[in-house]
Amino acid sequence: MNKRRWLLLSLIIILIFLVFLKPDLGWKIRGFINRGLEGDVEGMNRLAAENENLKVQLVLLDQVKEQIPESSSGYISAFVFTYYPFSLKDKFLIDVGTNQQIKIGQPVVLPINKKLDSKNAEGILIGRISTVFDNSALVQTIFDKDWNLKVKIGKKGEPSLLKGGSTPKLTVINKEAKIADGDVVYNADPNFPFFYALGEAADPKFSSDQVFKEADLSFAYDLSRITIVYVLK
Amino acid sequence: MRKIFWFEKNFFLGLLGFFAALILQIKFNPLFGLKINFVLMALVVLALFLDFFEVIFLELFGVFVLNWQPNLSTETIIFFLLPAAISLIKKFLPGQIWFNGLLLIILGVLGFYYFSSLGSFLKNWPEAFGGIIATIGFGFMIFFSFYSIQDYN
Repeated sequence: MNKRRWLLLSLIIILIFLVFLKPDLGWKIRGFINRGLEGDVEGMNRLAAENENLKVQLVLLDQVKEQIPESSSGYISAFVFTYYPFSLKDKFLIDVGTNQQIKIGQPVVLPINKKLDSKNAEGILIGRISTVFDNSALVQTIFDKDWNLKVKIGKKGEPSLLKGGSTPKLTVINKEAKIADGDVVYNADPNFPFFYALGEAADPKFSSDQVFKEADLSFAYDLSRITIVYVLK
Repeated sequence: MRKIFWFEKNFFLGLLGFFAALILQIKFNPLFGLKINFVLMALVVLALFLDFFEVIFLELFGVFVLNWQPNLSTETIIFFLLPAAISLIKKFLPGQIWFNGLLLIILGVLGFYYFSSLGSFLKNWPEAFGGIIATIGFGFMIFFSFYSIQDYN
């Protein structure tokens, strides 16, 4: 066997070792390529999330807050390891798992408050735990094509069904509903804490069959650049 | 063909194309709203031009950087197997290299989606279709870039 083959075989063996025993090193390389040369993206995401949350708070003032169940009793902070690299699914891996009492279905939010003593996590709902490993877990995001969620839109709380995808859609909105660009969209699904914002309605129009209205869901943050999330208990 | 450190020029050009695809996939995806499998396409094309061990090396590097969970997922395994299989069977294929190349790019992309995420594809085919077409388009682009610099004399 020539020198070239020996060199390639040695590199292949090293890579096999790295793939199975040091996968986190690969995630770090990806993280460096993804975020290495950028500015304070996390800070910008945090500001965007805070803006969305303020809009939800305004909606809350117009409603009877006392009748709404308590949203959250605590959270676990987690770092984002890596994102699903192929198309058709939108998931990412975080650094907490079974050993940190993480369970399938727990909501995941983009945080807006940095207070370590705060019991409740405020933020934007971005996904839920879909698979749990010992020290890591997969988060299915609202950009995943298999995601569906009951939501409400704007101050009047117009009900809708959010369908995930690279451009999430707000579907089956009553055709009499008055939806405007920028109306805040928040969770109404009993499996998640109420009144967590998801984004804003954009480009409302009649559905192709003219039976309902539909709209896009717009975001002021960049999900692919997130580094820290909260997993709600 | 001239060699550089025991490797032919093709390997270094392949390495360049592979890393360009890797950066595109990590940093610029989705591109214009379409999720494109840049690295898969680069590997499928390189499997047609490079030696088997060179392809395996690049594939493993791709798996190492793109693997996204502690276990190897179905997608990652298919991502590894497809170019390796193409590299093995390319010598036995009838027809011109350009025809085989274009056919394998299309079959490679469809095979990847079929075996890794058929359910998601069927549920969201209008959106997924755009990504597949863009991925095939990228594959054709790098195939003809490589094909045009080959010395077949």
